[in-house]
Amino acid sequence: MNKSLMFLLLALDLGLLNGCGGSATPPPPATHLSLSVPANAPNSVSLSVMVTALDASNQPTTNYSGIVHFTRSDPRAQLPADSTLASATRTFPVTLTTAGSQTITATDKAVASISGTSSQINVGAFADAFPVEWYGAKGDGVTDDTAAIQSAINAAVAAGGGSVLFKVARYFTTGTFLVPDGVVLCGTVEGPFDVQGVDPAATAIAPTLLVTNTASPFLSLRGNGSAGVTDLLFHYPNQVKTSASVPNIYPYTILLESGKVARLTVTNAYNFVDVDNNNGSDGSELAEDLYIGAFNIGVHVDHAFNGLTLHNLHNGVFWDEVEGASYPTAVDKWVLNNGTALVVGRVDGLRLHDFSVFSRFAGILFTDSPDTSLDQRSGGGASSDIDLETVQYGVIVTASTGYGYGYEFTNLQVSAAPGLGLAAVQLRSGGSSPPEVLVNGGSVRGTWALGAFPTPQAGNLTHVNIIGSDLP
Amino acid sequence: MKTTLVIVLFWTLCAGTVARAVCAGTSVAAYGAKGDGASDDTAAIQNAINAASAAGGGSVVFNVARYYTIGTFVVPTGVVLCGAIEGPFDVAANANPATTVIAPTLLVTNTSSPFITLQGLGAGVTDLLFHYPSQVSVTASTPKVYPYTIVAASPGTKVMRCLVINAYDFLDIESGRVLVQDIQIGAYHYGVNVDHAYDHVTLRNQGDGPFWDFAQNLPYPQPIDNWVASNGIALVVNRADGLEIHDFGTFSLYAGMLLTDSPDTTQNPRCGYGTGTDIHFDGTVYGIIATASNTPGYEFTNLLAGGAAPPPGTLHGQAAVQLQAGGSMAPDLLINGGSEYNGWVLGAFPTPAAGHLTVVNVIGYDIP
Repeated sequence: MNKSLMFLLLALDLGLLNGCGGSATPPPPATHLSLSVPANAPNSVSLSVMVTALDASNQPTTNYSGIVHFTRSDPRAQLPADSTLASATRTFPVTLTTAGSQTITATDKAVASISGTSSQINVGAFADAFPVEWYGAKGDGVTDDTAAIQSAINAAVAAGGGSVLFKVARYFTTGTFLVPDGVVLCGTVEGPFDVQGVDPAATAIAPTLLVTNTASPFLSLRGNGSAGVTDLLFHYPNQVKTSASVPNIYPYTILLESGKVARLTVTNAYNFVDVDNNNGSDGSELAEDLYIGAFNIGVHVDHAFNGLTLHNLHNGVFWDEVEGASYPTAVDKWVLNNGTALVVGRVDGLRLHDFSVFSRFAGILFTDSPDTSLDQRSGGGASSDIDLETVQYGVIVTASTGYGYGYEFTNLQVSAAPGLGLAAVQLRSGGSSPPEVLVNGGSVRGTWALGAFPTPQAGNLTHVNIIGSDLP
Repeated sequence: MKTTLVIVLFWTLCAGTVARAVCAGTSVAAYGAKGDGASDDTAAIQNAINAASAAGGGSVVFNVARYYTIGTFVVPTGVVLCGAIEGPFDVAANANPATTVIAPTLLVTNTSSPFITLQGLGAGVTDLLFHYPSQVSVTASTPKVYPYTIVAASPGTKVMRCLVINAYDFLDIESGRVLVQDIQIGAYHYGVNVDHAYDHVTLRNQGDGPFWDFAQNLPYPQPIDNWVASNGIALVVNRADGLEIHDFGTFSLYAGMLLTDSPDTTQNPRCGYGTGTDIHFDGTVYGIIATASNTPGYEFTNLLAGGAAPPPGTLHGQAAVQLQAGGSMAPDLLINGGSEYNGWVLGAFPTPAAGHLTVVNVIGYDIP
């Protein structure tokens, strides 16, 4: 049937029934208001309050043209100005700023009985903070919290940025996460943490993320330099036991394209942090106060076209600590033949301080970036207070920047792995630019097969002011 | 009993005694700040500072938002202005903080006084991004002059995990026992100035660079970078009794450091002393200029000094470390370990015009 004809018939019908010249029946008048609010709200973040005019039978009605005035329990909330609803419902922004249970009330300015109060809103204590529990995370070490954590990140992004908070609990995950600008994943207690005699897969001792994904880096920090990860413990519950001879391979725990990582602990990772700005950003990254238990590579650096600060990094055998196993375990032997605490490709101005290593193949490898499209594939920088203990090689250098400033160390302590020590500092040929290294102050101990500072195959090695039992 | 416990917990949360992971305290939103990048939030921020001060001190918290201001602030004893997410921040590529929210951001427009004065024991600024939206474009030849972004006028004050873009002068330290850590500085003229510091000042992890180019997503060098190569200095030290500086990197400035006399002639002595490690000046006309130092002088370990090679090109590297005559006391410097590179016109470490320069254990291309 033709729609306009149908409408005409309907109008005529109504007109006959009402006997009043064809006007429609007005909807029932509004008698009260309802306010729909979220159960939880971050402190100081704008949230949406949906106000609906209801009739006596609790149905939404458009028969309301009054002006709504807002009041609240939170004395410092930011409320909308007095407004009409325009239709049955309208959504208003409200910002709550006092922690605890809060409510919002809307009241008609003329008829006080037309009113409504929201349910309780739990307002967080910290501005811009998004606890993952609000988005369904269980933190019980068993339930997959991947989707809930992603929802919390999404909520922070939608608010323009914020801190995604993890309690002292074990968050089991199967997926991976992208952390964009303005978002920081952080624990609610300050790290870094330790695991001596405690298995983080079974006991909550810190805000802990249990990582099982094998396909991609667990966290990717991407953007212009405002993303971050702080005060968390990462553990790989499906990693092999220390009695195994070879670890399982996982991607990096954190891909740091921009931003900062601080006060973290990782146990049983294969590779921990990859600092790589090759995705368009070229900012100054910061990594500090990290306890690293990674079997293969602790920190890898490449495409760092600006300064990079690594401050207070400790690389240890945390897998033994977790199991209460006596060093050296079977997997430690693999690490002694394969693990490198720090691998550096292209970096323009590394600043490395308070860096300690126990039981690795090499403490530091300075080498060329595998990316041959770079004009300079190697880097340079300055380092102080480095302690490389029980290693086959302390520092291996195959290349340093062709700009000419090389790598300088002050207070470099190197001790050989018993029976395995090959060189405290070794410069090798084959890099894109000959390595140039200064070691000014430090010590060597242990038995070095090739001498503490063997004659370099390429480049220049200057070492002065060295003490110790095994000087060449 | 239970009520007491709840109150104690609430107080604990609100007093900011948790990890720096999150900053608790008086939200500027609670005092009406909009953070929309357009409304003037000066009065709201001042009210929040007043409330925190009246409560005996506390944190004044800024969301990840852009707070436009026209005024200036004095931060009193026990009050810390802090961002809601942990810094430091960056604007690596094409993020203009005047239009895009990437961090807790203060937009500064006042031209008459320092934007923030830390005037009281324990006052501080942490985890914030400062931007000058009315500064000239990088295609201009001369920057617009503003007063310092921050003046640290009292002992116990701190500036941590902050980024500034398009400032003229960033931080003026006018007291001893001031801590500055993890800061990224885009200031055309002076990054940090130190004077009247009658006790130690610690600067840890400071980076100075052309953040203005990043913010406008334009390639280095821009016309404004030429002005900076003739005028910009990352750190100026006048009277300082025990400067401690670590992890200091600069790119594309006239000088990395100027160690000189205070303009305040009432001080005796007028110059300072201190130690530093892991310092990297890249693309500078001078690495360090010293006109004066107090005993025991300045000692630096791992000093990497790179000359300015064209571009920007109008000024080549003049000296990695140059001691000049004319100060109130002859400068005395030790460089123990480091490197210099990139074409120094007068030699990497020219014979000092005054005082004593000891250089040992230096590697690099341009050793005299």
